Amino acid sequence: MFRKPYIVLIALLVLAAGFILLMAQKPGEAKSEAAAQTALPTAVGEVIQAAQSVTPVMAAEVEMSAAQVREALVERAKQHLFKPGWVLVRETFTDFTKAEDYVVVPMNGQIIPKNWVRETWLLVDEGLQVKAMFSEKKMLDDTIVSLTRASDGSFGKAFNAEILPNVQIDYWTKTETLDRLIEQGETQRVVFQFLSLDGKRVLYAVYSDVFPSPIRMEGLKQPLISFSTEDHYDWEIGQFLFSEGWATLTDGNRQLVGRLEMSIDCNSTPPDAVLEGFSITPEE
Amino acid sequence: MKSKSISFRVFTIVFLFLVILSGEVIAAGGSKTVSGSISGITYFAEKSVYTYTTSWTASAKSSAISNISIIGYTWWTVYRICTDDVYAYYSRSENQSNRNSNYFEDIKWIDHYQYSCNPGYFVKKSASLGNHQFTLNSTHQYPYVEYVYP
Repeated sequence: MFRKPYIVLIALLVLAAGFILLMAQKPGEAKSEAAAQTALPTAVGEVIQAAQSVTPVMAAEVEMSAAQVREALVERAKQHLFKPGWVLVRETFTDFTKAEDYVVVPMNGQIIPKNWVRETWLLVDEGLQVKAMFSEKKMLDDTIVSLTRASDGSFGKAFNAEILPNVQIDYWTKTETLDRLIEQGETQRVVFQFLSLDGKRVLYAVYSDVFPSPIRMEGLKQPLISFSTEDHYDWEIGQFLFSEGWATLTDGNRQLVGRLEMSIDCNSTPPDAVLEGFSITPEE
Repeated sequence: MKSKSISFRVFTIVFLFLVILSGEVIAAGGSKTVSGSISGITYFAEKSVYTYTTSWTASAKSSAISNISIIGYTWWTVYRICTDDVYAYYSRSENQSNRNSNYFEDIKWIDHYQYSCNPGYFVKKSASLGNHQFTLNSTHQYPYVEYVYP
């Protein structure tokens, strides 16, 4: 009497289990203790070596978890990117939606720009520890919108030293999206690939957020149904290069929403105004 | 028939569990809903904040069980503030509504990279707040709803 429903039930369960297994085998997900290892992708020997090109050349997918990728990037940045002395980190965010340039917070008059440049000077010691930091965020017309300064006292006066543990080298490898992913248990599928870009071996990471219902947004031709962040890292030296944010619209087209670029300079000295700022506290 | 009913309930629970496990997007956050009645028509006023891997969203939703004259909000603010008390994001909208409808929704989408905290600081809280509007004939109700995450 109940045979037919049971057959349907078993068939559906088999289908569901198959679906789960299929999802589990997709690359880029952490499924084992291997996530904690620093296994650099030497196994990815099949990477296609392409000539210098502005157009990225797709290469093999990287069989690494987000935790492994993060650890490899930080390790490479420590070995090849940062040097003792002053380091200038320059970040530029460009918004492509052509909406208003900024908003003003009525409670305190603070300006929040859509397009911005942030220059951060870091004082790095021989042990590659950040001992002092000066960070300034500006609008494109050079209006300063925020300023952060910190020192443990080894340069200038001690000030805001409690935030220095948060701005060590791993912070400047810009792995915050990987960090969120790891925090979530790496349940989201991420594609890691190698590209050849301007002669560099670039790690390309794509993260996608799919929304439960379409979202109308000023500056977009159609409501967006999902958003992808495409991060690019110089794999040889562990440097974050740039990230592009792409909206997938209801008509299926994609639209570039924003771009974050980052450069790191270990051969410059801060201007006098920055250096002098460390000898006073904001109250003086 | 009882065994059939139990087996299908078990199946449903197992199937839903498997589907949830395989979900590709995890969103932290939540919502707060306030309900009321205007001339005998039940309405719901909801605010939400959800954080995704690369972005976050906030919404204001007004709904009623049948059409009313005006449904929407009189003002709606979304903000994110960091541990140095600097605002990473702020937005305010006013007087948005539908007429002769039982539904209105407005959603803001915000990119983590574009609206980030200063180096060394973290997100303290994200909020969606304001007064909804429910109007039927000459009766108005403006319930205030605020959702703050975390």
